[in-house]
Parts: sequence; structure tokens; C-alpha cells
Amino acid sequence: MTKSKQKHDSLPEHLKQKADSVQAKEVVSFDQAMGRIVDGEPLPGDEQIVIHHLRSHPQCVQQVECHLAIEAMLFGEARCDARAFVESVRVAIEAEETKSVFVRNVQEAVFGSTFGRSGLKCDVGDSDMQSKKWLGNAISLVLACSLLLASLIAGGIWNAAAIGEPVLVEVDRVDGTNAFAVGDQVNLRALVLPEGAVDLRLPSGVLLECQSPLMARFEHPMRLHLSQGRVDVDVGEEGIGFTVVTPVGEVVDLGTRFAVNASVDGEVRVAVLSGQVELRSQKVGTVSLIDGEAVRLSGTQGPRRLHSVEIRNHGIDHARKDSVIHSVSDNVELPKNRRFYGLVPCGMRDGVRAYRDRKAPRWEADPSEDFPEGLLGADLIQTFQTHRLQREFQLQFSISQPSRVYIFYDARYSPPNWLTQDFVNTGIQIRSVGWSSTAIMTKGIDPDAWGKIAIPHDIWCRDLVHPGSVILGPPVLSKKDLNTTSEYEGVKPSMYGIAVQPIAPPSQNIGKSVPEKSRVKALSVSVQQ
Amino acid sequence: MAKKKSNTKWFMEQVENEQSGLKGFIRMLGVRPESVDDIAQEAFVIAYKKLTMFERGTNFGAWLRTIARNLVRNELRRQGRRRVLANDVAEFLLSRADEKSTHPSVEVEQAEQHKQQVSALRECLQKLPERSRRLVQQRYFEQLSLGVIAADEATNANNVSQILFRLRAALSDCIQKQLGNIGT
Repeated sequence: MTKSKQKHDSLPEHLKQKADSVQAKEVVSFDQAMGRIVDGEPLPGDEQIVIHHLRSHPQCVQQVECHLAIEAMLFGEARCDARAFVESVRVAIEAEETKSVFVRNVQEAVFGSTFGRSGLKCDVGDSDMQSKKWLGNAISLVLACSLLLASLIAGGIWNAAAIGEPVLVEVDRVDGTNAFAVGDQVNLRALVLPEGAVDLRLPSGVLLECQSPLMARFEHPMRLHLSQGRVDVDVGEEGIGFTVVTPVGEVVDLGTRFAVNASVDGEVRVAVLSGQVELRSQKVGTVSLIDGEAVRLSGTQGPRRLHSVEIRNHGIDHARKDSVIHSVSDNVELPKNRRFYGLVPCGMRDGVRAYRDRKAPRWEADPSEDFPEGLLGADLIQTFQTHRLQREFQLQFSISQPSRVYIFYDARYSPPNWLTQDFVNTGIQIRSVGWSSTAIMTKGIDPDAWGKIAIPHDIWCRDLVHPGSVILGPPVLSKKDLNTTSEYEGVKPSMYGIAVQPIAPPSQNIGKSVPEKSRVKALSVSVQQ
Repeated sequence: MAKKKSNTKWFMEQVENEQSGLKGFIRMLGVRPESVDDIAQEAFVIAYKKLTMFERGTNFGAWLRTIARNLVRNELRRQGRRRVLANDVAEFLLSRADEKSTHPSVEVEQAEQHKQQVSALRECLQKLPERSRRLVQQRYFEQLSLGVIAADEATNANNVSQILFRLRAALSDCIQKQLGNIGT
């Protein structure tokens, strides 16, 4: 028996109980403080409580280690990214090796093939002469660096393009430019695209979708220097490790598809459309971005969330060049939140992806109905299913011309006030289809005749006759819903979808910013273009 | 050149074998979950650069963990220290890891146990009640903050933290039992 135990046992009963109570409180306090630290959200004083226990109770050390170990395994399971991680290490190692070769090539291209090698010789010439030579070299070095820097700053990276090697590209698609023709095979070192768009296939299978205005150059077939414009990269099977070098850092693909946009003001935007990339810059080190994440950064500012990214689909016949939707944003402020809304111009059609954070669900018409005509070709915002959990959620966007805004709201639940006040139910439904039978939000839904699990959504609409902004609220459970769905603890409406269709000016159209219910029903959702 | 290629091939095999255990080790030093991959990658790159210093046949995992410990130590010296959870706790855990590293047998044990533990964890996750599975899904798979989960569960962040605490403790017990069963 330990001394403390003996001492405890010798106490009168009321003091014994008090001591036990204090000890129990201490344990609870430690558990709570440690839990919050492990969860990464400590309160003031938590660290002192934990460190005190770690120093005085060895079993507490094991407890902390145990919780951290379980957490590490859970995060590891959640990410399932072992292969991507191994690839990221491979790329990092190759980048280290390539970097040294590239620096040597730059030095040789600028200063000649003997640059740096003279120092290796054991030249025993006159020391005064040596120092003059060194001074001369230093002046040459400064001048050359200044010229190189000036040419880069002026956007004239073509002076340095000789450093890169020509890359054989095949033209896959051309839109709005005469600079290329489909099927052309061209040796490209520099790429300038003042107008239109072109898709280029590299020998590695990497597909570059280039949008004007664009200026870029190849360093080699796996490295593209982008100084201005947007390029979407689909690396395919063989192109893992393909790197886009921008003025503020490098974007290394670890598989599949990403987009990089460099603007003239020095800001660079990176979005991962599927898979994973690594963003490497001197300022912020290495940042991993996964599917659905996007950031913007500049020479003076680190990565910040980029709220929306335009996603073009070449299968769509774009009736309009630009989306009518602009400036999508929300009030979700979570640490490390880098999720972007997908903005698909003219993208609304049967089978289009519904959410950015769920790959499978698609918007589809009811099997017995045609896809609502008025929705076809509308601009689509791909929302986040997880935002259904945010009670104070607000989503805001702007429209650049008179438009009809559609909301697809979970038809199983009563609509919230913010929806009924400003929007009108068209009486028509579409479905989000492709859910797993185990998804929380599909509880109670049986597969349809085709074996699909589908959530019905009512189509609500509102006409905006002037450009302006729209604010939407959260999907919420009404009191009535709470009473009827109590058996499904935690169930909430599925996240809504949004589409926007430009409409003719008010004089030629329905002429009301918020049309009467009966009128909209009669109009159905067909839109006069 | 051929030797370099074979070195790289051998090294990448080590990356595959060791990455999961190394990440767990780094997390146990008090590094924030979102920074674990970055530090693990840095450790591998440094190991590759200094590969000539590694003596084949000795414990590669232990060598990697030494590099990782040094990286975390550097992180603790830096201003800001954004990649660690709580400075004093991280320093304590680091010094404990330093002590442990003087017992190579412990290092070997850690690496071997990790794979079995992950496998046992998968089994244990299947046995969780539905509400706990939902919490695991929200916290670790959807990476929602305690506040967001609390809003959904109609409770407060502190309660969610406590539920997660008990959940991890239960998973730890379950893993111990699983590994015990394997051993018998």
C-alpha cells in the first residue's frame, strides 16, 4: 500500500469523501482540458492543467499519447491518401534534384558554360588581378541578374525562354482563335494566346486547357512557367508530378486535375478540380490542396480562400461566353476552410454534378418527366452538402443582368421563411440522384424502381429585373418537421442547389421582381430568351 | 547512375512502408493534424538528401523519427509555432520521445505495432454505435469544427469534445482487445 493510500484511508469519512471529490474533479478537469487540446481548440488555462498532470501523473502521459495516436490513425483513415503522399515525396525529391540542374542551366544560359567552374581550378595568378576579375564577374552578375529580373517583371519572360526546351504538343481543341488548328503538332517553347482557347496534349498525356489572354513557356515537358492567364491541367495516368511554375510559387500535381490562373497584378489562383496538388512557395512553404479546395495568393499575401471557381465543360454548347453569376461567397469561417463553389456557366442539364463535396449525386429530372425546359443551360452553382449543418449559414452571390434565380429545396421538409418570403414554388420537382443507401440525409428513402436513391427537390424561383445581389439562408428544420422526424435523430434537409437563367428585360418579360405564385405556376419554368 | 536509381527505388519502398507510422509518430509529438503530412514529407526529403549518412541494415524508421523530432524541435523554436497544438505540451512530448529514442527496441516495436493497430481500428470503427460513427464522420472525414458539430447536435463545443474524448478512449480499448485476441 502506498503512503498516500494509507494517509487517505486514515482520514475521517467526511474528509475521505471530500478528497475523493476533489480528485474526481481534477480528473474531469484534466480530461476536458486534454480533450480540447487534442481537438485543437483549447481554452485559456487548458495547457497549464495538462502540463501539470503530465509532470505529476505518468499515466496521464500515456493517456495523451493514446488519444493523439488514435486521432492520427483516424485522420489517416479519413484521408486514405497513402499513395498520394508517397507520390508527393517522390515529386519533392525530383524537384530537389531538378532544382539543382535548373539553376545550373540558368547560370550557363546567362553566363556561359564556364560559369562557376573557374572557381574549381587552382589558378595561382596575381592576387590583385584575381580580385579585379572577381569584381568584374560580380558586376557582370549584377547586370545580368538585373536584366533577367527586368525582363521577367515586364512580362517579357520570352528573353529567358531560351533556357527551356521545345516541347512537342498536339492540338486537341480550338475555340475562338486562328493561332492553332485541331490536329496540329507543334514544337512549342513559348505560348502566347491573345484570344480564344486551345487544348494542348503533351507527349506524357498531360492535357493543358489554355484560356486567353495567356502567356506561358515550357521549361521541359513536365514544367510549365505561367506568367499570365488560366490553364486547366489534366495530368492523366502518366503525368503525375506535372508542375506549373507561377510568379509566387509552384503548383505540383499529385494526380488528376487542377486549374491555375495568374493575373497581371501578380495574384495567382489555384483550384483542385479532382485529386490533390501541392502548392510550394518560399513565403508559405508547402501547402496541400485537395479536391474542392482553392486558394489565391500573391507576393505579399499568403493563401486565402477562393470562394468560387468557374468550371467549364466542353460537352456543353455555351450559348453565352460569361456566367451571369459573380462574387459567390458565404459566412463559413472555419480554420483551413479552402472550399470553393463550382460555378458552371450554361451547365444546368440532366446528370450534372450537384455538389462540390459529393462526387456521386447528380441533378436529374423525375424519370417520368422531361428535364424542366427553363432550367436547361442555366448557370449552376455547385454547393456544399456539409453546409446544411451550419445553422447561421448565408450564401451570397451577384448577378450581372436580369435573371431568374432557381433554388432546389429538399421537398421532404417545410421550406424556411427566407425561401417562402422571396421565392415562389413552381410546383415542379427535380431530384438529386446517386446517393449511397447509408448517407445520413437519405434515411427513410427507399430505392426507386431503377434502384436509385433519390432526394426530391421542389424548384423555387424568383425573378430579379436588375443586376444585384442575392442572399440565401440555411436549410433548416421547422418545428413541424422536428415532430415528424424525431425517429431520425440528426436528420436535416439535404443542401439546396442553385441555378440562374438570364431573362429578357422586364418590358419583354414577366415584369415583376417577385412574381405572383399563380403566375409563376402558369409560366412553369420555361424562360423567354 | 545505376546505383543512384537503385537507391531511389529502395528509398521509395521505405517511404511506402514507413509513412503511416511516421505520421502517427509526428502527431504524437503534438503537431497539428493538418501539418503532419508537411512535416513527414520534409523528413523524407531530408532523409533522401542525407541518405549517404544512413547505414543500411540499421533501423531506417528510427532514423526517420530522429529527423522528425529535429524538425518538430525547430518548429518549437520558431516564432508563431503554428504547426504545433500547445507549446508546453508539445515540448513535453518531444522530450519524452527523445528519452524513448535511447531505447532502440521501443522504436522497432512502435513501427511494427502501427500496422496492426490501424487494421484493428478499422474493425473497431465498424462496431461503433450510429451516433458515434456520425461524429467520427463529421470530425475526421468531413473535418468539421467542434462548433459546427455542436450546432448540429444541439449541444455545445465542450460536450462534443468530451464525447470525442470518450469515443477515442473506447476505440483505444477496442484496439487493445483486438490486438490481444490476435496475440492469443
